[in-house]
Amino acid sequence: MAKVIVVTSGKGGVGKTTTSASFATGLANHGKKTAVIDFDIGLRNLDLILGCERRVVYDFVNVIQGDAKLSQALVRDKHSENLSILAASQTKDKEALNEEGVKHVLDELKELGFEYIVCDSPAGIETGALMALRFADEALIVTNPEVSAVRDADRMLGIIEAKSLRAEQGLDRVKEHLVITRYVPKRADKGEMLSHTDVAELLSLPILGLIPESELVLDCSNRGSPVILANGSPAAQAYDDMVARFLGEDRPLRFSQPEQTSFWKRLFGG
Amino acid sequence: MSLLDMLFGKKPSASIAKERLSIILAHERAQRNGKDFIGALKEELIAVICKYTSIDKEALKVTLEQRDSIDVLKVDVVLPDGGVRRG
Repeated sequence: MAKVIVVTSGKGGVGKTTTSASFATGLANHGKKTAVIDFDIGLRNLDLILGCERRVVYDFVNVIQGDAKLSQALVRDKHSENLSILAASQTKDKEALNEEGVKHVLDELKELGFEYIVCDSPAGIETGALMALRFADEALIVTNPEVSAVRDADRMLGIIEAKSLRAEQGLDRVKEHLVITRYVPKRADKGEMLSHTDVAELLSLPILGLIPESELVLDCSNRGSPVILANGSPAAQAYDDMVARFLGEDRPLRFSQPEQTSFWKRLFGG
Repeated sequence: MSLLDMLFGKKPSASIAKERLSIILAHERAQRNGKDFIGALKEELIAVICKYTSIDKEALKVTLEQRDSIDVLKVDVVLPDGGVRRG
């Protein structure tokens, strides 16, 4: 049975697209036939992050409006053969997404044998975001350890509880997972940053991924290659753990503690 | 946060963040779940307390906090000096 997973946050710039790209790539590399859809109509970017921008011919809205077949619009990922990408349209018409059309595309993807369909939500709580979470079975709630991001994440949880089809039809609730990005264990240890346990407790969610702050994220987006493929780096390992946990593996939380610092540094700070 | 900061009693900002978030999230969740009775409760409490003593509206604080899995309703009342009327 195919699963629809929304990657959402409310706040912009916390790493939804970065997380969607790595999550989808990770699932595909575990041999799962995966599709990832960019719901950010008018602000297409997932294609850039995955490095397939020049191969996008048709997009999500073209398929919904019947101007192209789904098979024509799906772009095969260059890194993983199990992954296909459906790009967002660059139209200004935000209402181009409608529930019936989105449902039709998801159903067709399921018929094509996709096991996981990852919906990369835009920021905010407008149509694109609502459509991305509408048919979700599970949700990755992405936040960084900042008050504004955590608050918006909580707001998003409320919207999932109210506006998802599962909630509306009284089915089993959408399974929500927490992904914390840009984490700096040293600062959390010093009390300068909300700790991962604080964030998990505030949102009452289990941690699926704890992604350390990394310069590599910019480098990867420059290259059009998802972070999870940056072999050996902490951020890549953290995304790899996240995907493994999602698939049911039990992995200890890494990168949650700072490397040891000297006594004098701890005394005087810095 | 260095030990020196701790010696001088400077509160780590993360704990301030956590405190502020736990209050605002509880408030917003209560609103979502139609449990926004805090305002009405506060008015009624003031009315009841004023039957026995005169208090300032500002002297009463009602907050709903979420700790782990339980909701904690906290009522703080500061009574004025010698303000209790004895009948």
